[in-house]
Amino acid sequence: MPLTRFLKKARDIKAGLEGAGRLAELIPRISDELGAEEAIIKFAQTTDDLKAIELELFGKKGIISILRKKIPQEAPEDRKEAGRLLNEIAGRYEAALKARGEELAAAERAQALASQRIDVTMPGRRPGVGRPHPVTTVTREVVEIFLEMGFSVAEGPEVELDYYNFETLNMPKDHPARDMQDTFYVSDDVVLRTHTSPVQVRTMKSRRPPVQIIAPGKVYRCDADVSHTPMFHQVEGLMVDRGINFSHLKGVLETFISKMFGAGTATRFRPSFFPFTEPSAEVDIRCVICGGNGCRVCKSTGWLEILGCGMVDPEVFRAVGYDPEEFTGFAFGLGMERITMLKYGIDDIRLFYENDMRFLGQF
Amino acid sequence: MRTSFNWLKEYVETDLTVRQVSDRLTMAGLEVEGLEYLGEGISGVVVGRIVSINPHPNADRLTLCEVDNGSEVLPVICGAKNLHAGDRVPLALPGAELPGGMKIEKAKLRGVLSFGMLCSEKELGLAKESSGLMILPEDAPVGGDIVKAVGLDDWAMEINVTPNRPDCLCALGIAREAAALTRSALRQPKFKLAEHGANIAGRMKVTIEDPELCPRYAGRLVTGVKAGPSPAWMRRRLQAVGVRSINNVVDATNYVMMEMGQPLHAFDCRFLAGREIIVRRAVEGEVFTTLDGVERTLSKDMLLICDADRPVALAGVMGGQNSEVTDQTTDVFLESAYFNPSCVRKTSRKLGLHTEASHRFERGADPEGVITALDRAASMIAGLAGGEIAAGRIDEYPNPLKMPVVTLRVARVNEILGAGLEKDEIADIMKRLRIKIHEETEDSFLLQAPAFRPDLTREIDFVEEAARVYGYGKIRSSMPARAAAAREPDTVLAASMRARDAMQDCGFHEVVNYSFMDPGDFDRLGLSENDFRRKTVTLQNPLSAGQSVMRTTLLPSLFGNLSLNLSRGVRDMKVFELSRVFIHAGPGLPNEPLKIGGLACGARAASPWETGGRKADFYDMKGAVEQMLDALRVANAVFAAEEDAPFLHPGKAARLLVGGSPAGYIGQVHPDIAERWDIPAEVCVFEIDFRSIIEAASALPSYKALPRYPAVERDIAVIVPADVTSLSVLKAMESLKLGLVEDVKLFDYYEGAPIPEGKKSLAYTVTYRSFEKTLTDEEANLAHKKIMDVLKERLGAEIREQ
Ligand SMILES: [Zn+2]
Repeated sequence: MPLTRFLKKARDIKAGLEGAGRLAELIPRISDELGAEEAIIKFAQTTDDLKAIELELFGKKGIISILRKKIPQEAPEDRKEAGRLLNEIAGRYEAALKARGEELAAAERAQALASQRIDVTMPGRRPGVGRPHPVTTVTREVVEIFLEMGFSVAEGPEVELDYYNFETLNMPKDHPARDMQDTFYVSDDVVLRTHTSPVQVRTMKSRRPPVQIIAPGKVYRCDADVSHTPMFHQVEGLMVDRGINFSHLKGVLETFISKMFGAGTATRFRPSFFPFTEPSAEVDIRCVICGGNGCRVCKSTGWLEILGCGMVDPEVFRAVGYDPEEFTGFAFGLGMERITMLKYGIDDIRLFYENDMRFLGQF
Repeated sequence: MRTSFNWLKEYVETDLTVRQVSDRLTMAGLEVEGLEYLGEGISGVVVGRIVSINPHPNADRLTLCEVDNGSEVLPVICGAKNLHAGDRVPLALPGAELPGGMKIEKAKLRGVLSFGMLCSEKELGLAKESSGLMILPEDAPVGGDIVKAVGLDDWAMEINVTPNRPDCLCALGIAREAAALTRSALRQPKFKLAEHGANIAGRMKVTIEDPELCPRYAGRLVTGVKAGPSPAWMRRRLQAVGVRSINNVVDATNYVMMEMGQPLHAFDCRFLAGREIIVRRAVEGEVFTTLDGVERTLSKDMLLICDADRPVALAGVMGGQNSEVTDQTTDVFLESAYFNPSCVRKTSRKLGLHTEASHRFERGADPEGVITALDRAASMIAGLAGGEIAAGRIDEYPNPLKMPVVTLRVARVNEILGAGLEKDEIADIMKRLRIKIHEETEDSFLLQAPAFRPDLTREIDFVEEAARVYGYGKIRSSMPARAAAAREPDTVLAASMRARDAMQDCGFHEVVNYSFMDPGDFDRLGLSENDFRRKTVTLQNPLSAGQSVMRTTLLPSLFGNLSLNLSRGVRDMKVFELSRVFIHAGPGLPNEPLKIGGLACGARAASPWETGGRKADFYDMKGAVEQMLDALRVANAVFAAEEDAPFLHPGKAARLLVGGSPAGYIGQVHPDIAERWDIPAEVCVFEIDFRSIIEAASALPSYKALPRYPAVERDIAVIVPADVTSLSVLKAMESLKLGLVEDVKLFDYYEGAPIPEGKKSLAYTVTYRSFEKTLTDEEANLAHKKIMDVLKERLGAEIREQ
């Protein structure tokens, strides 16, 4: 045990100090006997060892303290030299103790930390991530694009008067265009809205132009098969002011398409028919699945229909009390499920409403 | 609407391919949704001529034919009986392919080699059933491709005709459009009309009693016909456009409808009592049996075609069983009329009877096309079924319909389109569409559409025509001037996004459910008879009884989501939904409150090892809700025990109060209800009225200066009766209105030994702080003493020594 040997030696030295000779001779001898600083360092294996060594050297009854007390007893001419020699070895031992002390402390700390090791590969502590419904995400994206273009959000009831859902939109009771939309009836005058277009009418009835709104919401059709669900989501848009024209309609929707589907997405405006717009159009984008070469999704046409739009029909303006000679405007409607399906490559619309956790967790 | 490319080409001269024509039509609003090559799947089949028929040496049922394929005579074995030497028949040569993927090879049948196969109509995909071989016309070119010889070298075109374009519900109409778009000439169908014998005038009589519902009624008489099967070309063409062949008389009327768009009806004259037609309204409750054998009860806004005694047809919709043309028919009265679109539509809708005729009449037939179609059909019947067309025709048209004359301003066209169409360009387009230009000024036209375009009655209709034919693609895009309208902030939208984010951050997936529910669910939820949730909006025509009312609560949908997931082996589920529900509110429209609801079942956290696999419970659900309320900055939300939710566990149900008013509930499902819905008993749910919480939410966070002086914390542990709620402890403290109390936090809750039975221990850290100065210990102690006193006094609390 190196430490016990050191301590014994130190005690031996201390015992021999009484009445010994001149300090100037005694001090170098002591240092020779005790060994150099390295020896001390070697003996100390722990901070406790080091404390014991320190006590034997610098403690009240330690070697250095005893020697220091002896200095006044030296001959006056020797005192200075003795003091210098003592300070020198004291300094050396002190430095060595400090260095070894730091070494040992670092090692001991490292060991202590190593013993606190945890398994960092175990899963973290978390509430889990909830995901938004994919239709919500896409609707949010669509709404934000139009908000950036200066549109505001408007709302209307889902259980709607036949009057707003059809009649003010230029579809009187026996209009064949009603065949285009299988309607759920609550009574003869009340329906589940078949599109978000009644929000247009309600908004226009409540204020004067300029009007620039989008209306996201649920709509209902009495229809359920592989490609239809009785409820789905639309975003309706309307812009009315002096001097709004078809060219603006194209500009706004092309901007939307490039933000939604990427710049450079080829687009075409194809004449169509809606009772509440004229001229009317359907808008196709180049098939995002096949790039236009033809596939099952685009029924080998290379194009995908994504929205319907048109200039607001003068009859609709008359119904809401706007002068069609003074104001013009455009309206459009987008089906959110269709866009969501294209965006994520979902092939069955019914998945949206089953709410299987394994489906919901993917978006 | 189905038509065929060859049919179109009979009327319009064009070198364009079917795809080019389809593209032009599509880009002008007649969307070609499908193209189908009629000869698809047939190759290597030629016209063969049977040279001789000999018995098969080894089989009685088979014959060995020598067949000329145009270049050589080959032995072919055949099983059919309907063949004669000299017949022309379809011959599938070795290597041929037939529809359905069948391949023909040289084959030995009972020891004799056969060089191909003779085909029936069924084998060529021309008919569903056929008996015997298909016998081709005598002039079919021997060796020629069968696809061409039987008219299969053609394309069926499926065109989406929008409801405003009744004129395009026929081949001629689409051809007319194609001719206008491609600047090609249009050829009207040519036919000969040979009249014989006495004039119809003395032989049939027509009276229109209601000229408003029947503006025009015309007819012809064809006598001595022989009704029977139609020739192959007729059957082939009708088949190509999706019409079933009946007999040559009916087929002729259908052919003319598919060609010219005018629905026609043929009556067997034997059954027209009094040789008379009376067009009148039905009597309320009158009963009539239509061609399809269904007895229908009519109302007085429906129009009937009657003979002297009884109804014989439902005008514009369907003929009657009592007068239909059969194989015994010899004399035919042919009807061609124009009926009021709205009347036909109402009739068809009320009776749920949608026919090719009603489809056209309700959209608006061509009142001026009535006569041409009538003559065309009469001529065709005489051609196919023989017989004589009586001289003359009946044409009752008391008040001829006129298309309106409309002013079209050039400036208006460009104002709507944002384009620069020249006046000449517009005039050219109108002429191509056969729109009559009555007058022309420097900057406008006086226009009148042809009678087959009932959709063109207003200036805007002509603007659309100009735009459509000019091409939407040629109108350049531009952005409207910015900020046409001031943006309005949308608090509901913003709040709903924040609420969604908060719920998702708590690990809840968003679900979206149908807005329907089963009215039986109210009983299954144990709701009392007068619960507001029973005030439903009921659908007249639901898809099923289980979806027959609009949701008044999100709960049944959430339970349904859980059941579906459990049935698929998914056991951990935390979901929320943000949706309107619908509460009936007397006459008029219902209330549509916006609800946020959620359900938690199964593991509490995504890392169950850490919670020891603990299941989500009431406090997890409440934590999520509190997190959401906090995200929305709802400050004055308080939870109290809920006693009015029969579907919740009576001891584990909380009511949310916002500003003192009830706004929703949170709770564990009542075990009886869980059993009834077949879901686990530890399921927790919540449902909150979203608008009440956003109204209570502070839109702007209110800034308070940071405290400048240190706080003093004091803990207090009290033993209170078990039924004293945490809320009442807080309320007791609040009652002191101590300005120094900054915060009170529950840090420990304990029940059980050594706490006496019926009691519980609650421990709080109370933070004291003054905004004016550093509190001294004495000041904090004084406040703390007051709190201890009030708890002792009000709640019978025993203060535990620390
Ligand atoms: Zn594609």
